[in-house]
Amino acid sequence: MSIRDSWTVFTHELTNTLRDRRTWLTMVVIPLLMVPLLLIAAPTAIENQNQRIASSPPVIAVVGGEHAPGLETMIAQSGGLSVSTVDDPDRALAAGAIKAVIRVSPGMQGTSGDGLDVVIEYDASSPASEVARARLEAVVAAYAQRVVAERLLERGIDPSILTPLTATSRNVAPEERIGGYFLAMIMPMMLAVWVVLGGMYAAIDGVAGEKERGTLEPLLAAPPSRGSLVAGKYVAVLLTSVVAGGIALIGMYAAFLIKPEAVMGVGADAKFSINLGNAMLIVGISVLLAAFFSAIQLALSSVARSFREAQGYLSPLSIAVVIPGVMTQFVDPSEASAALFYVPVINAIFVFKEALLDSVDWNHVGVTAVSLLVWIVLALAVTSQLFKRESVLFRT
Amino acid sequence: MISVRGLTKRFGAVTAVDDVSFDVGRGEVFGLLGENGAGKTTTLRMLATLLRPTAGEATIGGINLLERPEDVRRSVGILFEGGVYDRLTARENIRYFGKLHGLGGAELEKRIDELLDTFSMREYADRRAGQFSKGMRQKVVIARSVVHDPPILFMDEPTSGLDVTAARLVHDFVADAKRQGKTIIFSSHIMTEVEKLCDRVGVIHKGKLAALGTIAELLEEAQSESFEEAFVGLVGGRA
Repeated sequence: MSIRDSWTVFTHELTNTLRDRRTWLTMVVIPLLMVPLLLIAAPTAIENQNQRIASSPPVIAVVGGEHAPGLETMIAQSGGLSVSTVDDPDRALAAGAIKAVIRVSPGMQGTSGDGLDVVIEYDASSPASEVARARLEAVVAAYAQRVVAERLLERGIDPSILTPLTATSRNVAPEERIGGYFLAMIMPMMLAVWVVLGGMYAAIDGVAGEKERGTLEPLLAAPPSRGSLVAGKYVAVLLTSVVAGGIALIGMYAAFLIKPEAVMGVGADAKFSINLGNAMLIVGISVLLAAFFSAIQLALSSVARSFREAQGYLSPLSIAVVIPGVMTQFVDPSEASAALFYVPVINAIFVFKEALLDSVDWNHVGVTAVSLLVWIVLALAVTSQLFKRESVLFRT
Repeated sequence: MISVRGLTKRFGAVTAVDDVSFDVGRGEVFGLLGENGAGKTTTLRMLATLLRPTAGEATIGGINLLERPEDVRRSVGILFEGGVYDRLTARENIRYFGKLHGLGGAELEKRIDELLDTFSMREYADRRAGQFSKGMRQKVVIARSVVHDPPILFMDEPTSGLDVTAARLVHDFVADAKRQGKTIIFSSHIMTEVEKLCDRVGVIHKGKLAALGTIAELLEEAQSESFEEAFVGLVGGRA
């Protein structure tokens, strides 16, 4: 293999790729626009909906309120619900005119007083109806407590007897770690997706594209060895992949700067910062991940007869990478099985998480790096073999 | 200059080229004539070291293609498929292949300028090839195949799909290369251009060399006055 020949192929591939609008679209434009949009738009939409619900409390109807004196007043004074009188509550609920119906009816007679049956009817497919249900349940619980307290007082018993202890939860995680936790759920998956997407067109164009436009044969008939050709093409794919990953990171950082509470989803009490070492670790593992996918993409492109066929082979990769991303979204790397650190993509996502949470386990990093390197070598060996197979290269 | 002995290529159960032998002398234009699928492209691909022969051997300019394939590739110019890089200019297309052949710097730029003049491409040398007509593209393909000034040329159906003007360009190029003393193997299924350009012809049919000789010798062998009739006669009995 000649470095000079590989360099010639690399610079050619890069020029050819950078003149392709599709590369710019997947490598720069989409990650730079879509990543901030995805990170900000979804949480903002949820936040806006919550605000809408808060500013106009869900309307509910009370049926049989006379059996529970004071309940309707409690509901009205809760601040989160608006009580309305409707002729046909069931129809109004079905039509969405009201968000819940609370039905009160006399229940069993107990020794300590009359019982009540309370049924809350709501529409599970409506977020506003869900909110109304939750708020009604809270009011009903408070009402029940008040009734119990009144009955105890009638018997001369202090109601505090029912509260033998007070449980309080206190968060000990630093604000930075909370921010990192939320980022760790979404950022590794997005980074992996863009690493795959970024190199896709360069890989397709590099072999399947050459076959389709009839330039592969003259290239193979030129003096450079097949190894030099593969090396040049591979590094070009790798570079576009790494750049796309880097731009996706910039997009994420931009989203973080524009609206941090949307990115971290926990309001103003969460912060995020990352030290240089952890940032470099994310970059390093991203490069290894890109190197792994670039080799696979080049191999798949070699097998394809045409650009379109290669697209068919390579596109599922970007979806495939989402699956481990979703599977590991709520998994704490420190509790994950050690075997998972040998599995490409999953291991990289775990290391990204550890770096974001500032809880890097260097054993995990070592296993991940070595494992990815072994996978890269295997994928490259397959690609090199494919480049020597006549049945693959001259498949038309 | 070129010696082919018992060249054979099998793809599974199919024998695409079967025990083909011929010699091509220095400065000779040798035609490989045959119908589509006769084995011409496979023969040329083996000589260009793109495919490894199942049996047989060949020497190109004295170099054994099985032992030193990279040296063979250095000494030949390949004009196979007519594809160019659409996003590169004509000049960049030629330059890329120059670099792949180890050329560089002022020497390469001078050679590119020569080729641009030879093929009257100056006007669109710095335009991207994606906008080119077939004729313009073919000029780029020819220029890149000879950028390293090879003594031997392999041309596989170089006029296929070209209009009359573009085909004429290829014919002129072959005639000019012959004048320069280059050795050429010219594969085609078009009788008239083989008759017009080639010194000797190998008629290939179903992978086998059916006949070999000058046009006059082939006409005599087939006892025909028309080359087309001679071809049909030479391969017809073997169908």
